[in-house]
Amino acid sequence: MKPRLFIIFLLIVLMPLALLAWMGRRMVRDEREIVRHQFENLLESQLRDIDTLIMKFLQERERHLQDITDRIYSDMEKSSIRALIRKESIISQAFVMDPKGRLVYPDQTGALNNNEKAFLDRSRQIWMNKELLHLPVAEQDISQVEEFEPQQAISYSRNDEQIAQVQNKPVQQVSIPQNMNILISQGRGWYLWYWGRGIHLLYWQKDAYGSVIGAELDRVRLISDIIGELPDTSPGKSSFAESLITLTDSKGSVIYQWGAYEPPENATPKVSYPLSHPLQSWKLNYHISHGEMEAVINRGLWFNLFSGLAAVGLALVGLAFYFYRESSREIRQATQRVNFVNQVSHELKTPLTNIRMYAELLENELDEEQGRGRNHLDVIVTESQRLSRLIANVLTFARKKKSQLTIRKTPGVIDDTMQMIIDGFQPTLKAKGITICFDGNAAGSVLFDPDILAQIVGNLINNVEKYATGSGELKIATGQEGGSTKITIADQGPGIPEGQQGKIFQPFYRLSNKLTDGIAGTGIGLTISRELAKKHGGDLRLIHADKGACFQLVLDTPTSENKPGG
Amino acid sequence: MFRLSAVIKGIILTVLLAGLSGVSSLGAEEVKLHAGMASPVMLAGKKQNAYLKVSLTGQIRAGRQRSPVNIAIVLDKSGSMSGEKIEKAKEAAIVALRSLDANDIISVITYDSTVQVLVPATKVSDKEVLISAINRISAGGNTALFGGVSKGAQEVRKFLQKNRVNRIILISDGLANVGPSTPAELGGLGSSLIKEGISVTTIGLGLDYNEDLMTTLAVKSDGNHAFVEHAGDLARIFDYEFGDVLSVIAQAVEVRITCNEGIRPVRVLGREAEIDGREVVVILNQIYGEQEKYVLLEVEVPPVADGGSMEIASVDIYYAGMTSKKTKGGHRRGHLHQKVSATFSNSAESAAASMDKDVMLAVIESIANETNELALDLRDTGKTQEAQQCLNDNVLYLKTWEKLMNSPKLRILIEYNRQHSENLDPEKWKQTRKGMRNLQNWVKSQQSYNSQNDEDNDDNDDDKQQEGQAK
Repeated sequence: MKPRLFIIFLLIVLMPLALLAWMGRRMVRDEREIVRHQFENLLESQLRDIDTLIMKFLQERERHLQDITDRIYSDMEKSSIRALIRKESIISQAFVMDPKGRLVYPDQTGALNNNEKAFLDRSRQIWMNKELLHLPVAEQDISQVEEFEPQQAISYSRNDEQIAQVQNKPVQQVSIPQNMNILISQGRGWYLWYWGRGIHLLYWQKDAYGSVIGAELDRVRLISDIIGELPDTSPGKSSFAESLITLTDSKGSVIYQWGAYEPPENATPKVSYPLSHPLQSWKLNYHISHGEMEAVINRGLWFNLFSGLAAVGLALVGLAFYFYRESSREIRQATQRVNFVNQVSHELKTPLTNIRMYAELLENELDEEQGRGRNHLDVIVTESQRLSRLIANVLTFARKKKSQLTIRKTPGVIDDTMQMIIDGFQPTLKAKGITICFDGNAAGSVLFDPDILAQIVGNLINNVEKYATGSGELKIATGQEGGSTKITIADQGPGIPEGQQGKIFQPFYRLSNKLTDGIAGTGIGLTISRELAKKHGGDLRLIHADKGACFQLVLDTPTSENKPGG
Repeated sequence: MFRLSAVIKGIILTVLLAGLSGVSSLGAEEVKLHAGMASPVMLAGKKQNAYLKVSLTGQIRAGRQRSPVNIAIVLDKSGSMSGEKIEKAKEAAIVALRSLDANDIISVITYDSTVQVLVPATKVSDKEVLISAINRISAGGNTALFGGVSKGAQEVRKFLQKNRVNRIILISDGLANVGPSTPAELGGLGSSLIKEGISVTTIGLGLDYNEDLMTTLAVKSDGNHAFVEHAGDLARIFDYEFGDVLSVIAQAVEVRITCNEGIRPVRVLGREAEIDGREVVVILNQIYGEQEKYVLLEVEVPPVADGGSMEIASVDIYYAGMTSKKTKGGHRRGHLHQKVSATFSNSAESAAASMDKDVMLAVIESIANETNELALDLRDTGKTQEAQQCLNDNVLYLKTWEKLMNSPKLRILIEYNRQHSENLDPEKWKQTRKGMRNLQNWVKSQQSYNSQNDEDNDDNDDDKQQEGQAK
């Protein structure tokens, strides 16, 4: 009983858990994709924040450059411009171009210093193509400005698609001049070109007459300052332990990187994000170690799944344990009750045997004439016999439970035993209006257990006595064939309904109908009878009959060599 | 045997004496100006080129309080630094740190593949915390030199004040390989930083560092450069460097030479300069105490008749005095002025006799230095023969002048040039090249210390040299 119970409880716990785990795994797999996507979005948003940081810095630079160009506009003396360039660390050179596209400063026809020479060298294409003259600030822009209210300004934002498409064209902002005394700016913005080692940025402003004043950001200094703005690799500064963010230039070589992770050579970044204009050829790249990424993605998911499973598992174990305790208590109580009944039955057996014995002795001693007393005595005898059967049944049942049921076969004649049993029942049956018609065909000496036979047949006749009162004839027939004996007991009572025929052999099962109501019974008679029959190498079956119930008992009765009583 | 330390000691004394005995200086200032021609008497009746020297010397007065410093120590902790180098570098940084006080600001930046701001710019109040931070440094990884210097600059900028000595000290043994890494780019960074008054001193360790990278950065930002072959010498070099830093007298020094009518400035020797018409502007980031810094200008002088005299140029010096009292503007702007003139004579003897030895020496050094640079370029392009010839010519040139001047410094230059010419073969070139760059930079920067440990001069007595330098 115990191991089976254990397995059942294990199943109660494990089956739903396994099912849940399987479903959870599938869910987690789907979820992982979503989380991976979200994670990549997160990385990208971090890169976007860095881009914003750099752009904010560039805006500051833009203001600074605007101030520088304003100052140049207010004093275009060569020496003043040179002094300004000497002082301003963020620019490498400045220029002034007249409306016809001629450079006023640096003046190619005059004496140039090294700085100016180098600047003209690297920006030659600009002056040759006069590209700065064709900046998208045409006259119509100016007229547009005039059409607007003074407070309003036309500004093409960084995200303007048109501008973004034309990579080399600067973003222009046409705005109403803020300071009438200084440069009346008809356009300003970044101009970028590639020379030597990479991108060069130039900030320009155009006045109403078409002169362009500009300053070139010192490329190296710009990089250095951007590096200054960016985080370093101090522990605890990056969100993920094993990650590296690199800033790469247009050639893809690293300008700066931070993070405590060394990606393998030529590793492709998990996420890349190009900087905004005017540094759109630079890219931010997020490298993160596979392990770290998996850990981050799985962190939430598996934890949720496992905690869910653990909670359900715990609940199930608790439930199972509760049921186990309940059922085992019931079983224990039942066992105690059965034990109690057994003991009581056992205790009853000895006094009952004495009562029967003395009643039978008294019966023999009484004269035939003493009718009344004899009748009373008969009642005592039959009732005590009934009680013995009951006790025998209970004890048999108990022994069956403990597997202590044993068969003791002795040589004898079935019919003799049958006759004895029938004789014992005669008086009571007669009183209930049942007559026994015994057809004995088993007169051979065989080996069998007469006590068991008596118990089985007694149970059957007892049932007839109880449930088929006044049904008339009870047919009992015996027959022998080979080593087995067949006994048929058929009554003329109400019989057993079809639907319940299968259940009558189950322990404690009692037919519930008008017939059984009000009749006491233990519900174990047929069960024990069948068990005993099986133990005796045979069977007890309910066979079909037109009327009433018909039981057929088959017993294994090998032929005995010795004649009984011989 | 050639003893470098003794000679250097000699030179420094000579330079000091020369500075102190300056002929005409205006005002009892902390910076002494001395401007003069190589030969104040020139040959008459002929168009000629002449040299003008503007010499500035910081004066350390008794009871002077040194100016507070703002230093970023940028330490290479890439894999190649592991072992003795990183340990010595840490020791040196800690020794340097101990010489600072609570008015000073320090930051410590380390870099390998990435950059760590180990100690953000902070007042040197709790030295033990800083020391323990430095002690935790361990080596490994690549070399993001540019990023390291950039972050260093960022830290220095946090406390960028005119009355502080703002400086980045870079210690590296390697090549830059993350971020911008060409000498031109590093030089560009140096040029930009000097505009803000930040100098970068570069200390190259071992034999593998890129000397062009390190020297260009130092030269362009008017910082010092030293080459330390043995990690053990690092502490000493660091000591010199700190000695310099702590003795800064003036910063943001603008030397403006305005040539008179008819005089054409040709070029400035060994320094970055801006020549605009008759005006020449040279920026020096700082003047150290008791050290001479000078500007050499070559000018074209028109023919002048015998007995005539001519004003050649007027020299104006603008600087931020470090020790002078602060005015409302925060720091005081110092100004020095001097006129330089020459007389003309038909007598070659009187012209020769008038020669200013000190100025002439500087001119010869500079010219010899340019020849040395040319030789290096030739050797770089594989023209070993020509390079050797070039160096041999240089030795001859220097020897000729050495006979006339009897200068110990010229003797050093002769010895170095001779050694360089003998060590141009491939297996020795790496070290020779560093030696040449180091020598060139030493002459150019007019810096007080030179760390060169020549193979042949390994018997240098460190203590003696230190004594000499400390003077």
